Amino acid sequence: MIVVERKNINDILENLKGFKKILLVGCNGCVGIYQLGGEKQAIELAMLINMGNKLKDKKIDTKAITVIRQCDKQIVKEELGPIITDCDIILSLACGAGVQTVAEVFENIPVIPANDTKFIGAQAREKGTLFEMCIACGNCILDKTGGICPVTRCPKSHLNGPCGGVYKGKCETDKERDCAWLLIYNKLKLSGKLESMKKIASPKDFTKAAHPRKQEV
Amino acid sequence: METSNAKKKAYACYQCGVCTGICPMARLTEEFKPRLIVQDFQSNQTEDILKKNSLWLCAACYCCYENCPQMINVTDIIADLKGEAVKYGNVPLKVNEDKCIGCANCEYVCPYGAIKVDVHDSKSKSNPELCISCGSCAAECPAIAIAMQNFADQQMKSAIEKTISSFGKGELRIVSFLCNWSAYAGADSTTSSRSIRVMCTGRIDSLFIYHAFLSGADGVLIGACNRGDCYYASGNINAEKRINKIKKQLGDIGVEPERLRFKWISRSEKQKFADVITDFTEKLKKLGPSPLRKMR
Ligand code: SF4
Ligand code: SF4
Ligand code: FES
Repeated sequence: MIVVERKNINDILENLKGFKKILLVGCNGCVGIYQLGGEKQAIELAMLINMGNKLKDKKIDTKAITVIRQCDKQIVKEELGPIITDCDIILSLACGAGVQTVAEVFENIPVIPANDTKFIGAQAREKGTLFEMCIACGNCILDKTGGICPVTRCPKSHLNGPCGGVYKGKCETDKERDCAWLLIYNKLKLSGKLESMKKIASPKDFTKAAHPRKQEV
Repeated sequence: METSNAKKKAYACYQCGVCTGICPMARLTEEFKPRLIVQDFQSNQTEDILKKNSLWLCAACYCCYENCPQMINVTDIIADLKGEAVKYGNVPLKVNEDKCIGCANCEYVCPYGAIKVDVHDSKSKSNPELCISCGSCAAECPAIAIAMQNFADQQMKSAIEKTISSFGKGELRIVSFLCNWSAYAGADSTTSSRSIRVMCTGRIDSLFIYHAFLSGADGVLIGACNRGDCYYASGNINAEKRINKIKKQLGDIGVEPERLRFKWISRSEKQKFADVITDFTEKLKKLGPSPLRKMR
């Protein structure tokens, strides 16, 4: 899922300068699930903005609403359409795709992001940490690497590994970080596919990741 | 009711009231009195209790059973009643399925496996038989889809407002949320009368904290069971995480994060509690009234 991180509240307030009626729009997709941009987070942010107002003695109206998916034009149009007239700026708690969808649907209203969109990741719930899993390279090699992506999870994106930087299973770039190639080796071994590690991978075609991309569905 | 064993036992009750006296939940609210529950159970007049939300406050600690001179298992009697109550639509919490997004944060946080996302419709379903209404799930739900029947959101917000309005002019306004199992029991009567008791700090929603500050609190104190000591397993740990996040936000916006304090205090640590209060009060005195209060 898409992982985001909240921007510093002061940067958000800076962007809101001069506006009187803010509509905060949360998203119940990825950011909602990860408790980063759901209904509660939208209300929390509205409360923080109200605190900011009080501190600077300003009067700004905040209203929070949450849609099921902000990256869906239809949903955005239907759910926000009726209430949108009542605001002069939209503060979106979605990922970059959501923010842009809202911006496109409501041409004459400024839309700003509350979050920085970081990566496609998965969650280790016990630790409450989100890890990057895929850089969307457009040319998936997980079939050869035991379902573990070295392009993403090896900081050097080695296609043939491990390199000499692995020590006690960890990567030299960060002693907390597992060596992706060691994980690959273990997985291939356990699943009886170690053979595929003997093949040398040739350089990857990164033109498939050249943006902007599109996809017919 | 299919509770013949419990029933036979219940007849032995001579209404001494030791159970109510010892019950941590009876201390929490006037509405919950084990003795009266046994009395009604004895005489088959359970209709009223079965409709009361407070029935779900029983945390199955078995204090009553252990202390009952007649060795009546009050806890199990209440457990039976809980099962019966569900038939009347009396449940510990309600999941609003229109709002639930199936994220499973509730399932993850519940120490009892009492709430789970149904794989078929991706909506969370609670199991009242396992739930002991700690409220952790409601505090974690990003969609505000879970409505606790005791310590409901609205009830908590009114309690916060009431506490704040109880302070006189010039008085420091400290809102303390104290766990009924630990900090509250360790508090002296002056502080406790001004504090908001919770079944577990896990219930403390981030919105409550923001609400307290926006309503004019100078400081907010959370008194939780010690690590590993939370009656509901992990409520205190989750609460601490939540509080730390809020501190960061408060600091960024310009409200001193020191105004929000999270402390581990066990029920026997009366001295520690007093020290925490003194120290916090002094700190707040130095800081002066909350910057959110000076305006408007
Ligand atoms: S935390 Fe809330 S939204 Fe998520 S599954 Fe549970 S009830 Fe549904
Ligand atoms: S209230 Fe507590 S015990 Fe009940 S479902 Fe929620 S987390 Fe579990
Ligand atoms: S029971 Fe005290 S903090 Fe959970």
